[in-house]
Amino acid sequence: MDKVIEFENISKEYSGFSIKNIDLNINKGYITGFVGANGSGKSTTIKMIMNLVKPDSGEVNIFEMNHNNDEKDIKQKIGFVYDDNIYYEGLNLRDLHKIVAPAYKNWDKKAFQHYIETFDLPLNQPIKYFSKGMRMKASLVLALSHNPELLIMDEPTAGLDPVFRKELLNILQEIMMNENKTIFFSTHITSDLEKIADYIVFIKDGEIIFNHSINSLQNEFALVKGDRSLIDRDTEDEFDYINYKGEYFEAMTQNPKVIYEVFGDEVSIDNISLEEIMYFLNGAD
Amino acid sequence: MIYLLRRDLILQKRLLWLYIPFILIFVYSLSSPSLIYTLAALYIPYNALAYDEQVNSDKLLNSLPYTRLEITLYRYLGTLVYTFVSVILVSLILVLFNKSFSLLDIVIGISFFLIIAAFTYPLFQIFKQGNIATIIIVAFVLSVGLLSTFSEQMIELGNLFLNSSVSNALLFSALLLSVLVIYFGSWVLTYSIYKNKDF
Repeated sequence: MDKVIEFENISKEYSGFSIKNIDLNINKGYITGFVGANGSGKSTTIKMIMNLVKPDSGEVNIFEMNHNNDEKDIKQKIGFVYDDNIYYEGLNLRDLHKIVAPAYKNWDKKAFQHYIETFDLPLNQPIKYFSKGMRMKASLVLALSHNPELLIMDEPTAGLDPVFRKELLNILQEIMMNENKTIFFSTHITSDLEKIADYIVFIKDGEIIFNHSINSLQNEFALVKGDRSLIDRDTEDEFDYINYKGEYFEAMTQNPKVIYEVFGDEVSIDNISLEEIMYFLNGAD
Repeated sequence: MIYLLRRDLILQKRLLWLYIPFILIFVYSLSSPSLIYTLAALYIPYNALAYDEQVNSDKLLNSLPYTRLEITLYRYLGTLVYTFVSVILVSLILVLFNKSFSLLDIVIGISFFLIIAAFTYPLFQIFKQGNIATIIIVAFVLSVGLLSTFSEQMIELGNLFLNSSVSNALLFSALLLSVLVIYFGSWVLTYSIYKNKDF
């Protein structure tokens, strides 16, 4: 499978936080969701993809190119959406268009017009009067109108109401319908991912915990519930995390088969939601 | 690169209407033409800096297909372009209002401005956002200091040249050239800081 983003042994040290020897591969043609708690390294990772942050060591390859040699060629192929406001508040979309469009060789005015109409955005109103949802749409218009092969988004759904989140997810699905596009986006709203993501990358304290397809995730993780008395020092080791609730326990396992062999029908083994996986992996108890 | 220049003008659309009134105020209130040239040259580049302070414009510019070298170089070259425009405008206004000025006024005026800019731009990379006023004051004081030392030597040098019957034009060129050397030295410094920055 073609890789669009490749991180090889990437490290970055900040005071009080570090990214530790990350390897990361993002496949071409899929939507990959990037999840993790606040401060786990999502934004830093995204900034390294965009060359906004330079790693202390390791190699970042985008489209098999390197920012040191081909920064402009790489960025020609990327559309970006950030959760903080990077566009000048006092300007309207017409002026922002004049600023952003000339940067790209493949800028498509018709596509720009099309998205403006589809998203129902005013061209002459300064964006400081835009709602959070409208700003997100405006960022998307500016990110999509040069027909990027890779769309990078940092927390695009943060602070959006459910109706608009759904709309955004539909838009992303539409983008994926045509051609070989790749979307990589960070979020902490896991229900968004279950709807549209093909792959999930989970980061915790600057380390990639897993990078799985959403289907294999369902096969590899399971939620186990049963009587507390079943858990002793030996059986405890079969689980990644255990929560006790009165007479019962609730645990996550990465070996559903083994659990079934050990406990048989004495416990219930169920599908686990992404939210629960994140909850257990973040060690919240 | 030219689009990055346009960016400043788009951002300052409204402020540009005030540019000529701004110059007129100085033409009326200041007796020294060279200071008028300095202040007029400040207007566009420093308004641009003020705009960039408001939002995380480095994050935008560096996400677009521009290199860090281009982004820093544009700021320095752009400033020269705007300075040139300001010289033309001020000269026209001075002629229109029948005020006398000499080539020396222009050379001194824009030299002073370019030195201020040469100090300001690297300082902007060293200090965090929100320090624009401090930076400008520091750059201003440093420039006055440098230029007063500089001018004494220039006068000495000038006398030397005058005695050896070197033309004024050559003297001005020498002054401008040295200022430009400092100015592009400042770019090298700015770029070396900017190159390794995280945004």
